This record gives sequence, C-alpha cells and structure tokens, in this order.
Amino acid sequence: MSTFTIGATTAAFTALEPFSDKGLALEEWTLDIEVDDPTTWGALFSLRSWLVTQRPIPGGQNVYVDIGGGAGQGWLIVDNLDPHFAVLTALTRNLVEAGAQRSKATATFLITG
Amino acid sequence: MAAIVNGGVSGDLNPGFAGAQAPVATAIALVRTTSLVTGLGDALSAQVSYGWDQVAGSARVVLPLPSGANGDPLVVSMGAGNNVQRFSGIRREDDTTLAPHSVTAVGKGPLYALEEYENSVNTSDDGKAGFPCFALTGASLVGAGSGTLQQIVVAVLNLVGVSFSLANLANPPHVYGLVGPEQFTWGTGVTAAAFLHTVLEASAGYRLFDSSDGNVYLEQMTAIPTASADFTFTLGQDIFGDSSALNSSIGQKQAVLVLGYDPDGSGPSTSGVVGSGSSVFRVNSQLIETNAFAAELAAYWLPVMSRRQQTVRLSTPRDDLLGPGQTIFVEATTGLSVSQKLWLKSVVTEIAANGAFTQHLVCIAGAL
Repeated sequence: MSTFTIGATTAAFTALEPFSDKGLALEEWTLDIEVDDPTTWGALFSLRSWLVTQRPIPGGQNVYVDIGGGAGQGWLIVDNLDPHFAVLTALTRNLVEAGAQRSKATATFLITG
Repeated sequence: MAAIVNGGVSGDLNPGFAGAQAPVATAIALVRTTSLVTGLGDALSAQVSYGWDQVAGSARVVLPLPSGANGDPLVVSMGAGNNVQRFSGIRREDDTTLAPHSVTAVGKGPLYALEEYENSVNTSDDGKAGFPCFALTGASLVGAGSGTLQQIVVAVLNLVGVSFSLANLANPPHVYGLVGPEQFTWGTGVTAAAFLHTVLEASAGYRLFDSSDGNVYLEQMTAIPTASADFTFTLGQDIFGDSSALNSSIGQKQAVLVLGYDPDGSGPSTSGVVGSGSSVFRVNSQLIETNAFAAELAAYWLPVMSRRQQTVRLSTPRDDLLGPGQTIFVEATTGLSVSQKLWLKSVVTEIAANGAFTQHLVCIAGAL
C-alpha cells in the first residue's frame, strides 16, 4: 500500500506499473494507481496542487518550486520505496468500475525532497 | 494484469546511483507557496514596478472579471513566504482583454501626483511667469531667499500633498538661489515633476523616487556604491538563467565640463574642463550659479562618466523587499563576469499567471 499525506489528510492507494520516472531538474514520478473507494479518491483529489513551476538556478543545485494553488507539498510513500516529500501535480482518473467502488487513475508527483 | 510497483523490494528506485537511500536527483528543491492579495478579489497575476527612472511606482493587477473602479485605492501584497505589502496607490487605468477575458487594473503610487500637479501661480515679478522658488519678501515656494535641495523638494512635496519622512531625504549642503534666484522660478503650467527634474539636473546625482516600502527617497547615486550591500545575489544560488550583464564603454568620457548661470551674456559660471581627453561630457544648467558649484558637480560627474558602465539585469526568485537606491552585490564572476556592488536602479516584482514569484532587477554602476 502507498500513501500521500498533507497535514491531517492521508490518501491510501495501490501503486501499479507502468511507473515513469522523469528526470528534469527534479524527479517527476508518474504512476498508475488504484484507489479503493470514493472517499479515498476524494481525499487524494483534495491533495492536488496546481500552478506548480520548477525553475533551476544555473550553476548550482537549487531548484525553486513555486506552488500557486492547491494543497502544497506532502509526504509520499510508495510501497517499500524510500519516502519523499512530493507535490501531487496531476491526477487523471482512467476508469471507474461499474457498480464497484474502485478507481484506476494516473498520478504525477513532483519529488521535492 | 497490472503489477504492483516494487512490492517486495526495499530502497530507492535507482539503487545504482550513488547513495541508494538518497533521492536520485542531486537538485535541492526549495518549495514555496506563493501569495497574491490585492483587495480586488481574485487576481490572476500582478506586477509592481519601482525605479528612479520613473516618476512613481506602478502596479498592474490582472483580474478575471471587472472589480472596483478607477480612483479606488489599490494595494498589492505578494510573496513566496515573505508575503508583504509591495504597493499602495490609486487605480488609474483599466486595460480589458476580450478573450480569455481579463481586466488589468493599473495603479500609480503617491509620487505620481508630481506628474499631475501643474503650477497655476504667477506671482513672479522678475519677468518670468510663474511661482518664485525663492524670495526675500512675498510669496515663494521655499519661503526664503535661498535654500537647499532638500528644502526645495520638501516644499514641492508639501505643496502637492505627498507624504514623506524627512529622514529619507538627503540634505546636500549646497544652497541654491544666492546668485540667480530668478532662474528657479517655477513656470506657470509646468508640472511639479518637470520642475523638480530641472532642479535635480543641477545636483550631484540626486534622485527622487518612491519605493516598495511605501516611502519617498531623495538619494545620491554615485559612480559605485560604497555602503555595505543591502543584498547579495550569487551565481548558482539565487540568479535565474535569463539574467545578463552589459559592460559598455559607449558614452564613456574622460573629461567633464559644467556650464551654469550666465545672467548677462558675459559668460557662464564654469568648472572648466575637468579631466583629459577630446571627448567631453557636458552639463549645462542655469541653476548652477557659481564656478565653485560647477566644479563640485564636475567632481561628481567625472568618476561617473570616465568608467565603463556596468549594467546587470538580474532575475531572482528571492522575495526580499527590494527598492531603488539599494546597494546590491552581484557575485557572478564565472557566468556574468561581474563581482561588484551596484545600485539597484529599478525592480519589477511579479507573480505570473503560472503562479511563479520573480523579481527582475536592473542594477547599474561604473565598472571596476
């Protein structure tokens, strides 16, 4: 099981393959996920951020990540991988199973620490 | 059937990278939540601008729909953690775009009153239509037969109704009006900004401007600032890639000639040519009343004009409260070939439509 937490809100999900690890200045993880029920989906949806920019400083390591709206930075644990600070920048629900509670979706996290 | 990611393996996704338990990227993320509050409801973006090359500070706030009206107070607070007020003025323009629909509210700072105030007084008895700046008897701007630059500026600000703190206005000792007071008459129909501009031209590089802290300043801009730096910007830490540095010898002069008051055509007060070289920078103002003051101004201008001009246009994510006249140290030897103190000439502070906070500085000084 995987979780993403900001403050008192934690959304649990199952991380699936494919798993994309895109390396710009910062890593950006895009992964398919399964969410068990609408309440959890709602919790995860509430943890999105938007107007997120990452701007690297030439000649150094600093990357300024400005968040213009949404929930902000959280704590991401994907199964047994090392946990990271992250910003949930995109969430696309691909499938809602008819008559079922489960959702399949694609989530994108900007890894910030 | 989809497989669960790395379900049974502990560690980072990239164990081959040095330090398996560390984040893969060596970049250091500095995460900030930006804030924009304008008092006009939701705003899509905003930009605040100050500089000694403009009469007054200004602000542009992009709104998704009309809100408020011209003439309303316009206050802009923004930052990326240091969320402070950066502009206070009056809304003077609305700039509307059809689609996607937006209304840009344009505000001007209090010093803009100098641009709008025109002298309507014509009490001069010296043959020049206007309001005497100095007079031993009768009405005058300063209320005395002579006065310093600070006294002139204070009199104008009071007359126009601009608030200021006297401590922020430099007070150079030179006394104007002792020889040719009639030259200082404020012409009828001339704006306060134009009148003060004329006086400041006859000063040793003093500039009148407002700043993001809401204050009005009168400061001298020398060739190179000597005070401790208010802020230091360092390559690799807080300077964005679109920054640039211009080191120019265009306009560089090795000699200065200041010419002044010439009441009877017998020849102006003059500094004589100071410095050497065939190309001379000339200053000419009837408000420079004596040879001694002309020489003083020449001594100011020579180190300004004899150096190459270093201009640094710098973009930074930092959200310090920046304003004109501050001393900025730019440490960017490898990238911009600059490592020196400069004057902050102007600064634009913005939160863009993509939510990013940036400040754009223009810094100038004589090159080292």
